[in-house]
Amino acid sequence: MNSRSHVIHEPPAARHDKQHDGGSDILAASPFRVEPLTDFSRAEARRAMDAALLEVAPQLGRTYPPILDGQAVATAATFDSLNPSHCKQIVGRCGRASAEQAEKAVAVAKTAFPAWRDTEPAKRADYLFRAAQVMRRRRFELAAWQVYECGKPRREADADVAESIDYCEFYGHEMLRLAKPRRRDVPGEENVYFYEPRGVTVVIAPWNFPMAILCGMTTAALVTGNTVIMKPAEQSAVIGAKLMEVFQEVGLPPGVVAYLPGIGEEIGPVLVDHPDVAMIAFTGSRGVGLHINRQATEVRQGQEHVKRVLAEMGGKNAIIVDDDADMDEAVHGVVASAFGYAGQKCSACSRVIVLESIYDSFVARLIEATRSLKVAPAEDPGCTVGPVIDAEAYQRIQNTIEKGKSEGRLVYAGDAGALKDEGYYIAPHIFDNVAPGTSIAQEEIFGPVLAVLRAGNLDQALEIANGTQYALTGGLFSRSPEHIARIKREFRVGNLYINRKITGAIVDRQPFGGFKMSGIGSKAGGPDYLLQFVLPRTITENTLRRGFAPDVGATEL
Amino acid sequence: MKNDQRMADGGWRMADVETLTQSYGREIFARLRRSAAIPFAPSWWDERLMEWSMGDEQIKLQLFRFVDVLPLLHSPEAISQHLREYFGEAREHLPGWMRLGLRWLPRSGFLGRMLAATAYRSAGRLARKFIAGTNLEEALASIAEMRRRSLAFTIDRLGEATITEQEADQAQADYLELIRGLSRQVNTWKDNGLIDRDDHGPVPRVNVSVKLSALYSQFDPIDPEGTSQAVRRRLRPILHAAREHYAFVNIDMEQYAFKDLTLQIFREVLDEAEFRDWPDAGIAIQAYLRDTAGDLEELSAWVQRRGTPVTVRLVKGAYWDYETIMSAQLGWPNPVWSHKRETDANYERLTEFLIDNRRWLRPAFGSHNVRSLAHALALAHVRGLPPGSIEFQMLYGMAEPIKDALVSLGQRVRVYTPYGQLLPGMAYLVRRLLENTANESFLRASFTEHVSEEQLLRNPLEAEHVH
Repeated sequence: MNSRSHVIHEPPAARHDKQHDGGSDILAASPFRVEPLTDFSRAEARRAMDAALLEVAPQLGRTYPPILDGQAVATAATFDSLNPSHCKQIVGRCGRASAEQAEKAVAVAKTAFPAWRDTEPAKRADYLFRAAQVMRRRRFELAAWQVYECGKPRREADADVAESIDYCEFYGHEMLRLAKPRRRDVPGEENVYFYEPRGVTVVIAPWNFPMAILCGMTTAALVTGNTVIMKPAEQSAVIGAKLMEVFQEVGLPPGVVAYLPGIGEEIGPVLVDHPDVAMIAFTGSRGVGLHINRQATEVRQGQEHVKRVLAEMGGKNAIIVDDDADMDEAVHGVVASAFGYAGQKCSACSRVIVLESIYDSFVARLIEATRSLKVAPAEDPGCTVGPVIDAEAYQRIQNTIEKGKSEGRLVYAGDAGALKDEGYYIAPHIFDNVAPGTSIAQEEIFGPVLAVLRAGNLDQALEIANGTQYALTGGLFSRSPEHIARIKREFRVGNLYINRKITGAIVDRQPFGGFKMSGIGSKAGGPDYLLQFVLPRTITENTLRRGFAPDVGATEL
Repeated sequence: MKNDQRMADGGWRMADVETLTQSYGREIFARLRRSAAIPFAPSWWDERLMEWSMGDEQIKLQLFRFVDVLPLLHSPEAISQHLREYFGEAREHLPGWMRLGLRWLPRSGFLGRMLAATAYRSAGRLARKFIAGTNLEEALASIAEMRRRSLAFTIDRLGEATITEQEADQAQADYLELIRGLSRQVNTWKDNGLIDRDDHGPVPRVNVSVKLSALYSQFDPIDPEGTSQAVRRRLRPILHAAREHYAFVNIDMEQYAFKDLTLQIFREVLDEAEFRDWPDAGIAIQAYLRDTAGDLEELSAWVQRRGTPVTVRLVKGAYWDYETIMSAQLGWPNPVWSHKRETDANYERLTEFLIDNRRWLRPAFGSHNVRSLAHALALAHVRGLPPGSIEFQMLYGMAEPIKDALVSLGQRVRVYTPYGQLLPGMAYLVRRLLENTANESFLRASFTEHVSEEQLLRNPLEAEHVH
């Protein structure tokens, strides 16, 4: 099915020895290539997905304790992760780690750090390449878990697993690149510039890309030599456990990575405030991100370093539709960006800014296209809009819609019908004639709600587009080369897309992340990402003794 | 021994088909030379435009992009702005006088309006070459005109992409109106034995080409059951109407991602009790796909189980660039043959399959390539097929002399005739323009670049071995 599996074969038995004495370059020999998505027009792919859903169904409801130092540990309490499509269904019972267990996790990670730091980078990368192989083998099964636990429609669940594989492969290759020290030797003097890891890293992940984001942050930290405490979102804690299974299968040394499910409010502060934590990699809401950033600046007793915080925090992303845009493409692109995964992506389009002269015809078609989407349980292959993640999200989005009614004209209110009793379904909603300053045009909603704004010309459109606290993704549909050039220059967002949907960034091809209130730190899946997890060091050695020195050219580190 | 015998037989017969193909080919070319018409009878200006755009990929790209966006430009300012921007991007490729002219393009006022009107008129003229009319009435006039030349038709409705259920309903209504409206008129016309009959007897005069993706807004191969149900719900009344009014329905083939699902829906609906014994349905099959031989085998097995034949329109395929680009982007295997000659060779192999299975899969050969047509004629001759057992199909506005040549050879030629508004028609128009100007285009090679007959008639299977 996936073409990479033809390129990278299961490692021959002989190379295991080599791997154990520190690093293999067989798996890494091929250059990075994006993992292809599954082609669901092929019957065998559909059958494999059906089979995986059937295979996973009887496994729902199992228990997933925290794993510290390679050992499952008992917890006093558990919490349930529910299927948002069928909210009575328990996907898994997860151990609710206590504050003491969080402390313990930091202690374990601290103990494991020196040996892991001193492990060959190529060997660390090799674990990632192996993890990618395991995920390829379990591709449909891992996607099926996402369908059940997060209400991800099949195609998007598959894409999330593909992205996880990409992170493993890409960061593995990136580490091999960064592992080569930079030399600036002069006669009689060696100058070496190289990187080493920061230390204990806490990864706090969201549920919306339940495996990819957790996997991306974790593998970036691991491959650079940090030890990691994975704190998955409560809503996707089972998928976190599945990722942990992958890490265990490839034999990551115990203590190098911990799986710590729990309630954010209970263990989050313990981890963030801990003096032995060197770095926090977070993806989630702006509120929590800023809170972590503030907490982390506080120097605690016994703390010997300034903590590093990476935070990817969301957006209020806009698509501008120019008056000469291809309407088929524009309507389709906006609908896909706004309502794919029920709008629960940080990259989702929540504002569409339409030029005056095509406003009415665009909005009319947008409404009809949205009405035509199929709201259904995520496992239904025809699902285009699934449920939102949980009861809290459901309530919050409903409140936003209520509030929006006083700020714009609710021109389309989808009705999920009988599904409302089955799960957390909110059908798409569209507000029209929304003023740029209102809360539905300014605040992230993270649900299937779209605000349509009117612009007299491109200047106005740009002003509206740039006029929020966020700068994550943005888009333009236009066929005017000058307008396209201008938007490229002046629409200041992390990821800008011209004449296509604004979601679905691909590792390496479209490194992902924003600025302003959208985040601190550099793009996931990009060339600068790993640098955030390392400390650069310079070593200078005077090699001149009594007037003679070794030949500079022959020097090896 | 036995094997040797068979090989010798096969070899001899293949040589026979090849000889006959060459003589049919030369005969068609001889008739082309005698006919006065040129391929798309363009005015001097259009011909210059096409020639000029063919000469430079960059100019061609910008010109087609401009044609594509034009229907949405409503003011002289917008038109002159786009002209300036598009051809500004290809500045180095323009002749000096045009580079200068670009700067002086009038934005407004009388000259601006003149420019806008000229652009519209030129694009309109270009469009009308390939699009038979903007409404049913105009399309009927074109059909009647073709009938005078003994050309049959299949009508195609040009529409915007179906992204709403309203549009799917509208598509259904349009197809129904087409069938009813056309039958009322066309079925009263005087009989023309050449095109109204095949070797079994009369064939429907009204022939409609339907795109299944037009009938459901959420057409998606990830959900074949749901898609099939939704499509069939809208398709059934169309087939009913066709049956009732003695019309033929052909299912068009679109992009590769939809291919399996299109075949599936075609089979499912024709297996339904009310259509099981209905022979007036067909499907387009694309020779540029690597899958196609297998698909035809399956189709043949299915139609025998069904017990009533269907028609297969064998085409080369119109989405070659799209398939190649998308598969590269997605990292999926490219579903189409990489080289034109491989497609041509495959076309001939599939031609043979259809001719040998014509009892179940009635062949209609859709091509403008004289070699491909001659090969089908030769094979039909060698297999001793009665007159009328195969059909040829060509596109409206293209290869007119080839159509006439085949008619004069006593063949049934059906013209794929699109009609519809300019705006949704642009995508179709640009595809036709690309086809006519592609480096590998047979028409371009034969009518514009005057490649020798020998080369044009070369056996693609042979070429395959040589390379």
